[in-house]
Amino acid sequence: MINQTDIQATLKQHFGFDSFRPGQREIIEALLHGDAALGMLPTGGGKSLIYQMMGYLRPGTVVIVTPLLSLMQDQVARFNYLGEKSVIALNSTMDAQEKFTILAHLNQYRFVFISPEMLSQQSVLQAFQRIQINTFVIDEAHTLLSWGPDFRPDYLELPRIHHELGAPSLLLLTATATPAMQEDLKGRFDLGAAQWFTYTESSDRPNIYLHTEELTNQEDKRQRLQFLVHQIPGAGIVYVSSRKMANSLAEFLRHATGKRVAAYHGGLDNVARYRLQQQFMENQLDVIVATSAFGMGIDKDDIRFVIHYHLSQDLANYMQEIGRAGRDGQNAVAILLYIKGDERIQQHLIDASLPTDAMIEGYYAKTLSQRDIGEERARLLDYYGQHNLSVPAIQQLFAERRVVREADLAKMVRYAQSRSTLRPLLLGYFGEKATSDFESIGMAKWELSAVELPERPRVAPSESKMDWTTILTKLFKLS
Amino acid sequence: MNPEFLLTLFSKQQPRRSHVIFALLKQQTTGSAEYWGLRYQLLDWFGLLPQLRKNEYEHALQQLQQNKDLEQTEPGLYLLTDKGAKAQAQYANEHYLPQQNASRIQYQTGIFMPLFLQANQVVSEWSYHNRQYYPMQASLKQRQSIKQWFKKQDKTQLVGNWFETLQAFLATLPEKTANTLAASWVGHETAGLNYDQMHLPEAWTDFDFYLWQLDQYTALLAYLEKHVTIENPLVQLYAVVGKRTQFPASMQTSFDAAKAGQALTDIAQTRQLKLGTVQEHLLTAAIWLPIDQFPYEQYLTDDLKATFAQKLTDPDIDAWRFKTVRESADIQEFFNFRLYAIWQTKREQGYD
Repeated sequence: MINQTDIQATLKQHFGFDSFRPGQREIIEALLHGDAALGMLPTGGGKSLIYQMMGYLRPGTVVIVTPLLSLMQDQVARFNYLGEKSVIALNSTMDAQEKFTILAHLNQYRFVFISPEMLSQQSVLQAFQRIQINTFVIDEAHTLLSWGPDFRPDYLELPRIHHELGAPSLLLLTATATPAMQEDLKGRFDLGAAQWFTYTESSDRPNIYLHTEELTNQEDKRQRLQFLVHQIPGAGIVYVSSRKMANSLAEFLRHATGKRVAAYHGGLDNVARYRLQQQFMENQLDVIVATSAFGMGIDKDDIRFVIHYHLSQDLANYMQEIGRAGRDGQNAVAILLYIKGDERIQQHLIDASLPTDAMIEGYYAKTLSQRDIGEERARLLDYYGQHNLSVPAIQQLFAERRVVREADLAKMVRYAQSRSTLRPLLLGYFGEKATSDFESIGMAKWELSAVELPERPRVAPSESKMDWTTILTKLFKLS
Repeated sequence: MNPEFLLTLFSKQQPRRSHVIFALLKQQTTGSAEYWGLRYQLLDWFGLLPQLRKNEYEHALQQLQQNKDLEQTEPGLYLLTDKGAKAQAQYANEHYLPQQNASRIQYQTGIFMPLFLQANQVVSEWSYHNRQYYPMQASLKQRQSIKQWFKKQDKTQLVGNWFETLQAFLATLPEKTANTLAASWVGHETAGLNYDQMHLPEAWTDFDFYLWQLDQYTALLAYLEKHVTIENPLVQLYAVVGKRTQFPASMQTSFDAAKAGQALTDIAQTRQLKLGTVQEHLLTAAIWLPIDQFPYEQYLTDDLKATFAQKLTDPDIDAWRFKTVRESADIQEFFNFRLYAIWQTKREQGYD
């Protein structure tokens, strides 16, 4: 039996820490005790340490289901960085031969990251059935609810897959789940004799100053963004809703503020993305203009501001995105810039991901093809088609889904338009109460000094003006 | 990929098949695609974009059509419009077009490039004795190759040799080219720069930079081949990739036998292949080889040439149709017809 001393020694040996962050020890002990665990820990609260510890505390392979490819690769890089080599990411970028080799030697890996799509494949599932699973982890578990029914049907299969794997020790991790979402999540899994252990840490990030402004038109919003980016010192992220916007705003900010700004989105190739991450980490880049679907993997702890130039999909996502600020515990600021009608972008995204009644009918009647309704929608409908649901039942399902998403978007808009308080609205979404005046609303109330940001961080010089001999000398420590 | 780039591959005079161009970019080897690649003088673009997705390609074509840069003359066949021809010229003016296509295919530069960037990072971190860093992303295959390569290296010589080779190579390049290439490298406390962080032409996109890099790494490989011996760590890294063999083994065997004078029917029989397959092997060899390296005279007799010359009178070889010369069901007839077209194309394009 593993005791307290073993846990403490493992923490010290692998991570160099003397103590846990809130929730980590509790969840690890529950898993060792045979419970299933749902851990709701704030972004930056050290969720990955929990499953890493499990990998060192008992034998078998820790399987981590992760939604995004970029996130998966970042995690593997982080494990490598910590000296862990026995880790692999199984995903769609692999060729058949690679996949085959890995599946044949699956038990040699201590940690396997995998996408839900890959895990749903029969041959893959069979390979996992043959090995001893230490813990089955679903990271960003809220995506099981928020993405599943829309465009990642394979997420819906995870409870069945968990069952088919013989219901191994289960760990659901999320930073953002309302009490209702937590219950919904837990209800989907068959635990056998095991019990649920739930650890909920408040979603609140008291060191993040909240601020919103409603502006009258696009040009004002752009000017305001320019002012804020120019004014607030330290590293920052600006969130926008499209790649095109990320590119054009990055260019605008570069010229208008003189800061070092780059666009960061899914259209970048791996190497370009790697360079930007490293530049940002090393403070050679001041501001990143990012699309929200991307960059879940950034692990920089001294980000001082997050500005939303567009609305998030809902408050859960908003929380997740602003949660990248101030991970070092020092003060930081989260600003939302809004103009009436901004919600239309999100509304379009809802429309684009959910099929209409006519599409559903036409697709099943074969009068509409995948080409007509789009690949994502077709994949969803194929999924439901395989589950023998009637057309009206499927239409009903999507109608309900639309209602939920639109209601969530309405709450996001209410936050943007609030004239009284912010934190209670944000935390209210997670079923929490909040009292704090570390926030302000409106341009007139904005005062940078109220945020009490820490001292200006080290700014590293850019590499742009070096000649090749200097670069070579620096790269290889030669002269 | 930049949609306008595709204009480079179309012509104002010669209607071209979009699926042929797609197959060439993807390095899909079918006899017909390669024949038409020869006709369009596009064989040099072979395998430039192995990752290109059909959807992306078709979408780009649609966009160019909507823009009135391309027009469809019959299903699947496209011609540049006047506007398109201007756009093509403008594109060539503002953007980067690969200069070293033939060598790039031979060296398989596209496979070497990411491998080099990885290895370069590994050597750089090693020179600082640093083991704690975020490795660049790589496929499992790449990582295993690098691991094996690294294990084999003499660690006392590695950093010095690596550095000196790169130094000598960069010195052969124009100053600005060398600066740009070196600035893109990732290593110890060196994040490297993206194309838009360097002083490159305003209109360039990541695609231009990709093509530009392919040329630079092709130049590096040519340099290695000429100046450096097998013990060099860069040469050993390149050994993981290696040069592309000109033809697949089976095709080479057919071709060698044919060159030695064996009849195609005999080759088919001994090798237990269909005659059509052997013919395909020979046609492909003819397409890729210079005119003097293929034994045309073994198949295209003077009589045959005279008959073809009489019947195939259209000066535009694209317009030749097999039915014009077809006399029986013998598949040798198609082989002769196609080979004649290849021979004439090579003469017309000045390969002789």
